[in-house]
Amino acid sequence: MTFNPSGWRPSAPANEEGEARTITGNRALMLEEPLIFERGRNDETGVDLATIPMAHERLAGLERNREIGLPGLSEPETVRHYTRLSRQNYAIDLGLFPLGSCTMKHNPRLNEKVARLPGFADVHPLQPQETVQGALELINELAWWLLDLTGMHAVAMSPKAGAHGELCGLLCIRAALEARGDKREVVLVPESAHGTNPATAAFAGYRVENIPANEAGRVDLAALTARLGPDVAAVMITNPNTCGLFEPDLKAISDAVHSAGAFVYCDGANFNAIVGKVRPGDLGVDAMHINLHKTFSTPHGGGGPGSGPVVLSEALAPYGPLPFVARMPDGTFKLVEEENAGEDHPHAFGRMVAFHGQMGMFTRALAYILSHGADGLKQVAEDAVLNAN
Amino acid sequence: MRYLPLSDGDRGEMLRVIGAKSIDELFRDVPEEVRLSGPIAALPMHASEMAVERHMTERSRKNMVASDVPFFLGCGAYKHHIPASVDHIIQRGEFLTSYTPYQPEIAQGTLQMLFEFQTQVARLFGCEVANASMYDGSTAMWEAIVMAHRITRRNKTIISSGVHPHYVKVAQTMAKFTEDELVTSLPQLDGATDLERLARTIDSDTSAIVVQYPDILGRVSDLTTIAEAAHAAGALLVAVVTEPVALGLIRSPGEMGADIVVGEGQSLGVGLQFGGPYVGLFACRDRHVRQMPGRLAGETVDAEGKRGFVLTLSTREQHIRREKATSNICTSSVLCALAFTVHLTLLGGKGLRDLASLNHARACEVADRLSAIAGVEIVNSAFFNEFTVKLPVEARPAVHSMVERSVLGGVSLGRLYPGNEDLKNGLVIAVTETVTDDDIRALENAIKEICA
Repeated sequence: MTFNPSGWRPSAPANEEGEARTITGNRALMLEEPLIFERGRNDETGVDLATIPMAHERLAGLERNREIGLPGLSEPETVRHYTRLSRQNYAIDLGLFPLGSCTMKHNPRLNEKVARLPGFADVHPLQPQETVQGALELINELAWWLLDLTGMHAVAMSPKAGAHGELCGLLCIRAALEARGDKREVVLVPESAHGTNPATAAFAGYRVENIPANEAGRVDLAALTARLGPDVAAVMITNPNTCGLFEPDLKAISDAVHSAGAFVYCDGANFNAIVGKVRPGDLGVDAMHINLHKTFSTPHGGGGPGSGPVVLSEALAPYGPLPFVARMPDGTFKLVEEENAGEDHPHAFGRMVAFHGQMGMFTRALAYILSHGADGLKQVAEDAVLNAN
Repeated sequence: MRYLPLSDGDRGEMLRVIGAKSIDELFRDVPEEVRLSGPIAALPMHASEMAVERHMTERSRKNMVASDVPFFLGCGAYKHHIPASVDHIIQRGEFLTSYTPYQPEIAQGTLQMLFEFQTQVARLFGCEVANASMYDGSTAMWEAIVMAHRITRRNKTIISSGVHPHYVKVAQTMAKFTEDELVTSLPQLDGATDLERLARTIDSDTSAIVVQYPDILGRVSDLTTIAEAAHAAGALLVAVVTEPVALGLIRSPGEMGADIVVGEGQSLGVGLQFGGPYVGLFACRDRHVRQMPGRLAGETVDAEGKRGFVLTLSTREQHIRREKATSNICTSSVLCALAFTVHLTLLGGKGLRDLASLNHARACEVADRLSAIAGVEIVNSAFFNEFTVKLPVEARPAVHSMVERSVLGGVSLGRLYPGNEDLKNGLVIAVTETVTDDDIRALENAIKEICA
C-alpha cells in the first residue's frame, strides 16, 4: 500500500525558474521570524507598570545613565513571536524521538499541573522549616522510592543535572578515599562513554584513562582487571551502556574493582530500560546518578533544566553532600545543613548548589512514579526493551 | 496504564515477530540471580490521575505559600509577579518536550530563543557575550572562578564577604578537590562593604576578586575602583548578581569593569519553587569567550543563504573535548532561560526600569517605616530592593515569632551564618512590587511586637 497513489510529491524541488514570491516573504507555514532586537523598541512594553518619579533614591549614585538596549514587545506580539519560534522545533509532542543514551518519553501534563501547585511553586527556599514541611516530606518521599528502585543505601538529591550528579558521585568517592588516607589519581572510563564522564573525572581532579571495549561492544573485563591497581580511584561504567547493551559482567567488574580498593560509578542515563528488572545495588554499584528528565519523565525543555539525584552504596553514604532531608522520630522533617550536620554526619563533603535541588523536577518525577506504580514502572522498562528489539 | 500505548495484544504480536517466547528472554543479559520478577517491591500499584493529584495536593497544603502571607524573603531568590503569558509559552509542547538542540535543523525555535536570551543577558550585565545558561547562580560563580584560573594561570581567588554564604560554600566544596585557594571572610553589620579593604589584598598570585552586587546584605557600591585594582595586578573581577531586576535601575557590573559577570536569573520569569530549577546567568568579555563554560548559540547562514542558529564554539565542550573540556556541564537551564527571556521581552528596557523603580521605592518606604521603630536600625546606606536591619533581639527566633503571626518577615543572618554572634541580630528584608500596603503594616506591627 502506498499513502500517495497520485505520485504527486509536495516536497519535490522547485524548478529553476524559482518560486513565486509571497508578500510576507514566507512560504506557507515556513516562517522566518525576526529577532526581538529587529522587531521591538526600547520604549515599548507588554506589562502595565506605573512609571513613578524617583524621589528619595538610595542608590549610592549608581543610577543608570544609558539605555540598556533591551527591546520590548506588547503582549500579543510577544506571544506571537515565541509561538512562531516554537513551531520551528521538533518535540516529543510531535512524534517519536528515538535517541540513544538520552531517554525521551511522554511528559504527562499531570506532572506540570502538580508542579505548579502554589504549595510547591510559590515557596521560598529559605522559609523557616516549620512552613515547608510538605516540601521536605515530598523530597523525602521521592528519595525513598529512588532507593527502593535502585536497592541502594542513600541518595543525594541536590545535583542539578546528570553531569552534576556524576560530579557528586566522584566527589563522594574522593571524600571516601581521602577519609582513609588513600591518594588515588586515576579514573578509568570506557572508550564508548558519554563525554561528560571523562570531563567530570577531570573536573573532580582525576586523570582519565580509557579502557577498551571488546568485540561485542561491552567493557573488556580482562583489560579492565589488568589495569586495576593502587592508583585507580574509580571505574565509570554506563549500564545499560551507550551501545544499548546490558553489561552482564558488571557484578564481576564490581567485585574486581572493590578488591582493588576502588569504587564503581555507574552512569544511570539508560536506567529506564532496567527499572523493576534489576537493581544497581545488587550489581555492586557504589554511586549512580538518575536523570529525572530521562527515566522519570520530567521535560527536557530543549536542554534543561535537568535533575540528577545520586544513589549511594553503604560505603559511600556517609560522604554525600549537604543539605539533605532527614525524617525525625516525631514524624517531622528536617533539612540537615552545615550547622547541624556536624555530629551525625562528620564526613559530608559539603554543598554543591545554593539551595536544595530541583524541587520543580522532584514533584514531576514523584507524580510519574506514583502514576505508574509497582506494575507500571516495570512495564515501562519491558515496553522500552520490546520496542527497541 | 494511561501513559503506555501498547496493549497486551500488541506485545504478544511483537514478541512473535522478533521470535522471542517471553519478555524475559529479552532480559537474558541480566544475570538470573539478580533479575527481579513480579511488581516492584514496596511501591504501590499504578494510580489514577485523580488519586495522584490528591496525594500531591495534600503534601502541598502543608507548606506556607508566599503569596498567601505578607512576604519579605530574598537572599538569592525573589518573589516577583510573572505575567501569565510566560507560563503559557513555556508550556507549549514544542518548547517543553523538545530535546537539547544538537540537531539545529529541528531546533531553530530553541536556538533562536537562546540567541536572544544571550543577547539580553549580555546587555543587562554590560558584557559582550553571554552563554545559554548554567544550572544556577552558585554553580555559575564556581565556573567563573575556574575560568579566571584558566585565563590568568593563577589559583588564588579573593571572595568578598558580601557574597551569598551558600555560594561561598559551593566554591569551598569544589575547591577542596582542585588546586584553587579561596580567601574568604565574614560580613559585618555595617553600611560599608569590604571592597576598599579587598583592593589592598590583591597581589601577583591573585587570579580573581569575586564581589556580589547588590550584596548579601543588600548593599550596593561602585565597582570601578576594585576593577581597576584587579586589572593593575593582572587579576580579573568577577561580579555576582543574584537580583537581576536591580540592573534596570543601577549600572551594570560590566560597565564598571567586571570581566566576568554571573548571576541567578530566577527573578525574571521563574517562580520561587523552593530553590529550583533556577537559571544561572554567565557573561564575559569577547576576548575570553574560548575559556567560557557551557553552551553558546550563534548565528549562521544555511545552504540556501538564510539566517539560522547553531550551537557554536563547541570545541570547548565535553561532548567534543572530553576530559579537556572547559567544564563537564552538559545541560543548561533552557526552559527557565525561556521564561526569563519571555518576561524580559514583555518588560523591555522601559518596563524593567519601571519595575526596578517600583521595587526600590517600595523598599525605601519599608526601610523608613521600620527605622522609626525604637531599637531597629537600618544597616545599609545604599540598597536596591533588599536591606538589612539590626534588631534589638536575635533575628532567627524573631523570624519564627513572625511566622506565628502569619508573616514571612525576612531571612535572618542567624540562618545564613549560624553561630555568628556579631550577625545574629541581623535580618535581611526584601521588598518587591508584590508587597501591598497591608503587608507593610503587618510587618511593621510584627516587628514592633517582637522588639517591645
